[in-house]
Amino acid sequence: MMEKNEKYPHKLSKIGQENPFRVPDNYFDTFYARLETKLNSSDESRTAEKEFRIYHYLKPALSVAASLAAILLLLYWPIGVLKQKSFAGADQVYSLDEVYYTMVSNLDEKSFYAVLSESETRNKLTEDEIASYVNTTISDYEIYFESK
Amino acid sequence: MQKEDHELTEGLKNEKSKHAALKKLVNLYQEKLYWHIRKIVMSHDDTDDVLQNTFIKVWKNIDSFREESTLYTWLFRIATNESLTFISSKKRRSMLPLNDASEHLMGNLLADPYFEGEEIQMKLQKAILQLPEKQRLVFNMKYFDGMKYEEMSSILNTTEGALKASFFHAVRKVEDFLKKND
Repeated sequence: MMEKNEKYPHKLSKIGQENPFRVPDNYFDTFYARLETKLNSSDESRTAEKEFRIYHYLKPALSVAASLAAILLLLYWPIGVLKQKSFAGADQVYSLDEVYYTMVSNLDEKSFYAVLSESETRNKLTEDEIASYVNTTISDYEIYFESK
Repeated sequence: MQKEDHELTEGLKNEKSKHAALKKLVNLYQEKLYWHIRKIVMSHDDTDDVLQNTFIKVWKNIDSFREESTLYTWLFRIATNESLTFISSKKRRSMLPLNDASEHLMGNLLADPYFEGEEIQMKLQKAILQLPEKQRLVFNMKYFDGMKYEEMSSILNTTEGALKASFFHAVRKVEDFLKKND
């Protein structure tokens, strides 16, 4: 039976102050356990959120570093190729004439004329040298036709 | 009471004892807080959410509790704010106009499987839902909980005079509604 509230106006005084609502069975008995589960999952998600935040702040720095690395790589390869071409001469085998020319061009005037006079005498072939050359390189058949 | 409050507060602030202290806090105040929230949000499931959020907020913010009021007053204040925030967020999510929270709450009341009152009690609940938010709070706390104006003033951060005036108007409006819907 509802308690009457005579201190209140007429209509309100006829209604009690009884609670008209109820809760599911055992609600308050199990509330703490559910709260604790929620607290633990909240702690785990806070740790994950913290890790995400660290990554979130590092991300721009990592992006810049990655971009720089990509740029360096893009520049390094063509530079490497160009360097190879420009220094290819270091590995190339020069001909004797090229070596001789280089040596001669680096000579001073006195040495230059000395070499020049030396090469002049050297270039003169003896008759024996000519005969030797002919015998080794030209056939008897060719000699016969030449003499005809 | 003050000594118990202080011990409980210290327990909650201590890493080793905080779980045990929280359990004690929940056992002490869960029912009172539940019914306070329930009268605001008008649904058991919503009340369950808000009640959990209240204790989680206490758990996370215990270090900011300066013991200027009782632990119970602080809890009640958090519960009230969480309830009102919950209603506001429901309004926003359902795209209701700002003054249509009472319709949403009325829907909760009419659909509530845990309402076991008589017809006259249902009429009273409908009358209370017609009240503006603050008057509804004051009416519930005074009429159903029998709370003193001094305590209400601390929880709602309103002067006792304003609370008395608010309650007076609330009672008049409820009475008018009951007469019209007799």
